[in-house]
Order: sequence, then structure tokens, then C-alpha cells
Amino acid sequence: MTTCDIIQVINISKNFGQTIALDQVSFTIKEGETLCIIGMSGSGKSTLLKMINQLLLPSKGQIIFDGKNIESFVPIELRRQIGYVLQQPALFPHWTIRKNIGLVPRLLNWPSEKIQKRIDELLQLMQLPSGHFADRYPSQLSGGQQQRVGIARALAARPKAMLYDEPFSSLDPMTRSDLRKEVLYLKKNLNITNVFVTHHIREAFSLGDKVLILHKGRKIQHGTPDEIRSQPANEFVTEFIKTGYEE
Amino acid sequence: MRNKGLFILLGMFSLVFLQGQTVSIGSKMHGESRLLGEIMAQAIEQNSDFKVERRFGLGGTLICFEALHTNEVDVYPEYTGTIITAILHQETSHKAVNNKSDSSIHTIEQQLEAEYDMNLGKSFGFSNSYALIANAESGLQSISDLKGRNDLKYGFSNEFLKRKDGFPGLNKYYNLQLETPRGIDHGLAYQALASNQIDVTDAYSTDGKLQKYEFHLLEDDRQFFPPYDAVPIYRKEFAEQHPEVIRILNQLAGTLDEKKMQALNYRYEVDRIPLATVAFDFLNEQGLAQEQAGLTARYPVVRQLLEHIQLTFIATFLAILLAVPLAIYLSNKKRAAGFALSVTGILQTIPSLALLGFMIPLFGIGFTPAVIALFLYALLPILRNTYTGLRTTDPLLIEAAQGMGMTRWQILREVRLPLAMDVIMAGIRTALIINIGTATLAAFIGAGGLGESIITGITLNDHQMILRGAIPAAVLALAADQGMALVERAVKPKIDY
Repeated sequence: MTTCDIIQVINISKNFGQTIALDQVSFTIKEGETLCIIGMSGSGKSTLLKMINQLLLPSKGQIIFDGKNIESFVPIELRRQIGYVLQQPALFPHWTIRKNIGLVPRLLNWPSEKIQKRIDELLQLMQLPSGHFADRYPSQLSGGQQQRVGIARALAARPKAMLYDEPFSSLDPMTRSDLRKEVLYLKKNLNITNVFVTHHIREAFSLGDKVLILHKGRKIQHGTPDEIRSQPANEFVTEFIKTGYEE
Repeated sequence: MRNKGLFILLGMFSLVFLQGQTVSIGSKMHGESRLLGEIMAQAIEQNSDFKVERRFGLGGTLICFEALHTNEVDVYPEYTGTIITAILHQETSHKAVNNKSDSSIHTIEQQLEAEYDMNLGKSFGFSNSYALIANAESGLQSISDLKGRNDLKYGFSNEFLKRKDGFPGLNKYYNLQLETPRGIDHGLAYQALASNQIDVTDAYSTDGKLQKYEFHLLEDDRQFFPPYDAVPIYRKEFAEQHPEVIRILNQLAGTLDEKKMQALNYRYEVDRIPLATVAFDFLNEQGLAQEQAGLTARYPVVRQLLEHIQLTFIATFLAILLAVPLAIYLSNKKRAAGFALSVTGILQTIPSLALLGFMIPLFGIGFTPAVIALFLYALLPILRNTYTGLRTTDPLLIEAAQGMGMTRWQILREVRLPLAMDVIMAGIRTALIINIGTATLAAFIGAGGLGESIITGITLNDHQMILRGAIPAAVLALAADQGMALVERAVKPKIDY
């Protein structure tokens, strides 16, 4: 293990009853790296992501986060160190935008002034003017704005890593590309480790420093976008890239 | 310190002293029982230093007797025939009772004392036996004339239909071969008879209202009905401790015959003269009362309304205290939740009167059993709504909350409960409204409330009195509904504009 590996996934298998969702998957993510996990639906990519913040437990194998086996963490403490962006914004509808974004810092007992400052900072970062948005409720925002808040909420407590679970899948193509630019901007400016699950090959290649291709629970290829483009591991990868670009 | 101890001791003594000074008089629902209760009450008040607590309008023989048994009531007027059948559970032996009235009373007294430690006072002097009455036009003369007359419409009171000395015994004894008819509320029977909706009903021989209508009293030609001598009944222990009260009650012995009782009943039930006045006039005539004390409030609606609010709000509040935490506990235990919901569902199906009846042997009469019964009724809507509300939280939101690192308790308190709040509040609102309606029945077991007016009104066939209870109850229900809507709005998390 090198010191800059923040996440190590070692021989992870997961089955739900008889169904094998993941079969002996291993890879590492370096600190500050963005890894895109890509695969078709049912490939096990979301399952893999949810094991990193212990929303799911592996059947076999282990995950090392920041040098420690994640099983040695109290789950809630682990989760407070890892930002999580869901498929849908999943904002708490009874809370203002401000309260939604401030959630994790509040759970970590930050002083309230620091929380408020952080919220304003994040609203600005996500291009949501705080005077206009902070005290509104989620239902008053568009889908794209809501997901920006979702990202801000995940970033709030300066996590060591961010997990994105197909975060743009419910958005229209225009909004989607805006938000993709936003994530690219965050990647360049914040230097956070990102794990980004998607089924869009373009998205994976434009965002990822590395791309991990999963198929039916198995790792097919793990490498930089260039490596994958120039040396696809097999016929499946070639086909996957081709059809992905035709979409 | 010493002074304080003395003070407490004095306080306790005065409490015992004051308790000893109060006599609690009960009565059944019907007017005559109330009159006898009021006569006893005023006689005691006028001729001793005892204070009297009136618990009138208790819903039936067993409720009264149980109230006596559990010391909730010290004395109430009862009928010997009722004691034989409803309390001692014996067949009325017609001939023995009819021919030797005195010796039979003696037997009853012995049995009551042996089985229940109860004593009977001396008879007021009249017997209010069951009688059958018919329209004058029907041409019926005696009970024997009813043989095989299944073509007639019978409107018997529910108690008469059930009692051994009522319809079943009569049908057998006279060999009438009648099918068991449907029950009718006694307070409504005369009107039904007068308007020819029914042909025959049961009545009491001292019923004042018999004077108002021209009904025909069917002759009990084979002497089925035993005499129902009106007597005070009390615990033996009470009699031993309060000889003065017993002495006063004995002064009432033989003061009323059937005609006099009919007249008193008529004044009270038909002329609508206040209970206290009718009782006072009678006692005054007997030389047992000189100065009429302040009348009991003529419009007790404020007291009843407050009692009603107390009953329903306390019961609903207690139900919230149990049902909400229980629903939270059950929210991830599907099977146990199903069980709890069906148990509370079954409770809900128990008719209100029956549930109130079940309460008496366990909790006596009055406020406590009524609150417990209402509490049981309120459980289901609150439990079901809280459970449903918690179960239907969007799973994605729960995943988000977990993913952000919220604890289970935080998720419950900050996400699931607030989001379920409108459903929970709707359940509480339903429970409260149901309780306001059901609480009108609490008067049957002496718990007061607006039901007092409604039930007294029904027994006395006094529509105004019914409305004096029913209108405030309806207004209270509407007000509670609106009030809850406001509370709901206040506690419901703001989601939209």
C-alpha cells in the first residue's frame, strides 16, 4: 500500500441471496483522484459504491479507507467523512436549503457561525446566490438547482472523499452537461477524491482520471480513459465504448 | 418541623372527617329512580349535617349495584323483583312472592347479606311492577289475549326482553308462543304506541306518563309479574357506620303509594318540574323538609361541557402517550405491528356501552373507567396513522439521511416524524372527534359530561334537554376539529408555499 491510496478495495464480493452482485473486485483510488465506475444496469456499480460508506456490507473481502479497514469505523462517523450524492437530489423537503446544506456540519457539532459561513460559501460555489435560495424549500427549486444543493450538502463538512451515485440520471441533457462542468470545476479546484458512478461512457471519460468498467459483477478493465480507448481489454469494452458514443 | 408534621396530621384527619360527612346517593336512569334518589338526598340534607353527593342516571341495575359494591355509591333505590332476578339470579317464584310479600323480602335480605354484605331499607310503600300496555283501540284486555298474536307489533324495552322476569318468562308462563321482537328505547315507546307504530309495550305500574296517554293496562290475569317494591339498598358496613342516615331513610318508609308515585312521576316527567322541586314539595308535605335549599343548577351545561372536555382530552392525550411511541417501536416490526393493529382494531369494534360495562368490575364507575374506555377507543386511529406515516417515508430520503451519517434516532426525530406529522395529526384528530361523540355515553357510568343531558332527556322524553346536551357536543366536536386543523398547520413541516 502506498501512502497516497485513500481507498483500497480488496477482493470484494457481494451476493443478495442467490444473486451474485459483485465477484472478487479489487482496485485502489489515489488521494485526489477521480474514479468513474461504469457499467450497464445490474453491473453492480451502485452496490460497490454503497459499500464504501457502509450503506451495504460486503459478503467477502475488505475495503480500506484512509489507511483503516472501514469495519473499524463507527458507520455514522465514516459516513460523515464521506460526501454522498444520490441518484435524485433527495433533499429533506421540510428543511430550507440552508438547513439541508448545513446537515453534516451540524451533526459534527460545528459552531453555528462556522456552519453559516460554510453554507454561504457553498451556495456561491454552486452558483446559487444565497440571498435568493438559502431560505427557500427544495420544492421551490428546479431539478438541476436541487441537485446542486445535493452536491453542496455532500461537500459541506469538507469530506475526504465524495461518492456520486449516478447523480444526473434524473436530469435533462442540458442541465446534465451544466452539472458535469460543475463537477469538473470542483474536481480541479477542490482536489477531493471522487468516486463517480455512471452509465454514460462520455461522462466517465470526461470526468474520470481513471475509469473502472464493471460487467455482471466483475471488473473488466481499470485504467485511464486513454488506456481504455487505445487498449480495450476485450470485445465487450470495444462494443461498450462504441454504443456509448452513438447514444 | 414539628409544626409541619402536626399540620399534615390535621390535614389528614380533616380529610377523613370530611369524607365521613359525605353520603353518595345513586340512581338509575329513569325518572322514578332519580326522584327516589333526590328524595333520599334531600331528606338526608334537610335532617342531618351530612353532605350528599348525587350520582344519578347510572346506566342500569348492574352498574348501580357494582357502584354500590365498589363504594362509589352508598345508597340507591332498587326494586325487590329486580334484586331477585338481576342480582341474586333467581327465578321469580310467582306464587310465593305474590302471596307472601313480607316473608319473601325477608328471604331476599338474608341472601343479600350473606352473598354481598348488603342491606335493604324499608319499602317506600309502593310496588312498581312491570305491566304491559296497549292502545285502547286494540281491544286487548289481558295478557292472555296476546296468545299467538304474532300479527301485533311489539315494542319492548331491551331490559324487558332480556330479563327472566320479563318477556322470556312471560312468554313461557302464559304460553304466548310469540316470536322475540326487536327492542326499543323505553323513553320512545309511548310515543310509538300513541302513534300506532307499535301495538304493545312494557311499562311500569307507577309510570306518570300513563296519565298523559289513554293506554290500556293489560291485566296480569295469571299473576306473572312479581311485585317490585321500591327500597333503598346499601352496604351493611355503611349502615353500621351511619345509623343516622338509616334512621332518616326509615322515615321515608311507606310514604309513597302507587298513585302518589305516579303523580310525582307525572310532575317530573310530563310537567317538567325540576327534580329538586318535586322532591322538596313531597318531603315538605311529609314534614321532612322545611326550607328549599338552592336548586341544583338548572342549566348545568357549563359543568357538563367542562367534564366532557376533560374526559375526551385526557383520554386522547393518554392515548397519544401510548400509541405514538408504540407505533415508533413497531415501525420496523411488521408482524408485531399487524398484531397490535388488530388488537386495537378489535377494541374499536366493542360497542361503547359494552366496553363501559366491562370497565365497572375493574375500575368502578365514574371518571376513571370512562377515561380508560375512551383511551382504548383512541388507540387505533393514532396507532394506525402514526405507523402508516412512519412506514411511508420515502426510502430515498432515509438512504440520504443514513448516507449523511445521521443516527437512527436522528432520522426518526428529524426526518421520519416531521414528515409523518400530518398523517399522525389526522389520526389524533379522528381519535378526538370519535371520543367527543363516544363520551356522551360516559354518563351511563356516572362520569358526567354532556351525555347527562342527552341520556336524561331520552329517558324523560324531553327534547329540549336532549338538545341541551347534543348541541354543545356537536359544537365541541366542530371546534375541536377546527382547533386540531390549526394545530396541524402549526406543527406540519412547511414543504410548499
